[in-house]
This record gives sequence, structure tokens and C-alpha cells, in this order.
Amino acid sequence: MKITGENGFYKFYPDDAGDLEVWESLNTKLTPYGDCYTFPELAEVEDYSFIGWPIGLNLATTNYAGTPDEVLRENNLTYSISLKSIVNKNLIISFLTLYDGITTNSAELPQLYSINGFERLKAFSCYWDKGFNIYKFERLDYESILSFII
Amino acid sequence: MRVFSASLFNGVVMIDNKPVPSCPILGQGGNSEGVVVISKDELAYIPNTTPDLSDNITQVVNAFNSIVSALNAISSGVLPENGGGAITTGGFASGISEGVSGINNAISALNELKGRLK
Repeated sequence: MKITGENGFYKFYPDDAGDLEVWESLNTKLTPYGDCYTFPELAEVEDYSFIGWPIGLNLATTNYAGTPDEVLRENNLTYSISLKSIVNKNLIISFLTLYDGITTNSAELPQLYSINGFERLKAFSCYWDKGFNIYKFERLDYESILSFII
Repeated sequence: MRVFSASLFNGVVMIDNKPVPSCPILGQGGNSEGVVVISKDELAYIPNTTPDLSDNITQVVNAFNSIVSALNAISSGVLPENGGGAITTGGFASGISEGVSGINNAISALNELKGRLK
């Protein structure tokens, strides 16, 4: 199953029905979202935001209309896998744990904006191997940790 | 791009009774109904100005109706009273009648325009 994460938003693309069933049994329930699946909390994000209006348990900080993931990005929000809710991306303080083999892989779905050295994970795409329950990365994009401070 | 029905009350743009801060307002900024258009981080409140124009036309029609009433009063009441009876010579009555007719045509035209406002 291919999984992408960008702008605080996760998308899951199962190869077959078994993919989804096994992943959900090991993790959490997903919701159909267009041509893919996502976390239920993300499926409710509107494609616009107005200052002071709620986005999950947060209040929007900017007026914006685009796609839901762009709305998260513009409001500095991301989905927190551990909290199962949308949070300010600056509150993500987890560390990224990657293993280098034939491919870079991880035993856990990576948390967007988690820390790796002096960088934070900005976006990724990976393939979840159902047989070994590992995430094999195709792409890992980082941004400087300083971008949060400036 | 998204378009939302909105209103402007005391300088505050509202969508579904919720305020939209930092929303530029096009027009004079009086209380109104309108729409908020937003694309990426650009947005604006655009008032529906047709009600204002409709009100203006109504006021003009009302003014014309008052003038017609006054002219009719002069023609049928004031002049005969002062002249001791209906005026049978001179062009006063016909002149006033032509004026009233012209004003009534203008009233009809204004009401038709009001009905055609977008």
C-alpha cells in the first residue's frame, strides 16, 4: 500500500482490500477520501479556513481557500498520529527513526514534522510492506528546523 | 476559488453569522448583503448594490408622485378657487396636464427599470 504525507496530511492507497484490512487491524481505522483513504479527522478538514474558525480542535490563523492539505499547511497544522487529532506542527517533538537497508525503511508510519538531526520531515512517500509490516521510503523531504524558529 | 453568501454589518463581514476578520470590503462599506470571494490567500467582500439602486428609484418615483399630486391640486383646486371657478381660457390646465402626463411616463419608465434590475 502506497502512503504519502505532505502538508500535515496523510493519504493511503491500498493495492487491494487486504492491504487496508491488515493495516487497520494493526493501527487504526481509515476513512475513504476521494481515490484514497485517510484518517477520519483529516477527512473532515474543509478546503477553506477563516481566521478564528475551528479546524479540528484548533482555531484557524489565516484566511485561505485551496485544498484541505494546503489549508493545514497555511495554518501550521498537521495530523498527530499519537494524539489522533490535528495539532500545531510546532508541537511535534517526536524523533524520526529510520533504518538503512536496501531501502530506507521504518517500523512505524512516520510522523510529519518529526525531528531528524537539524531537520524536520516535511513530506514523504513510502510503500507499506504488508508481509513485514515495514514502511519502505521512496521519498523523504526535509525542511530546516530553523524554519520553525524564523 | 470559493464564494460564500455573506453580510456586512457595522463594518464586520459575516458568513453564517460568524465574523471573517481581515476581509477587504469593496464599495462604500455600508450595511449590506453580498458575497465573500476567496482564492488562496486573497479574499474580498463584494456587496450586492442592487437593493441600493432599487431604493433610489423608489425614492425618485415617490418624489414624482408628490409633484403630480401637487400639480393636480393646483390645477383642480388652487387655480379655480383663486379664479372664482374652473379656468376655461388660457393654457394653464392643459399645460399642467401635459406636465403630469410626462411625469407619469417617467414614473412608468422608472418602475420598469426597477423591475429589470439584476
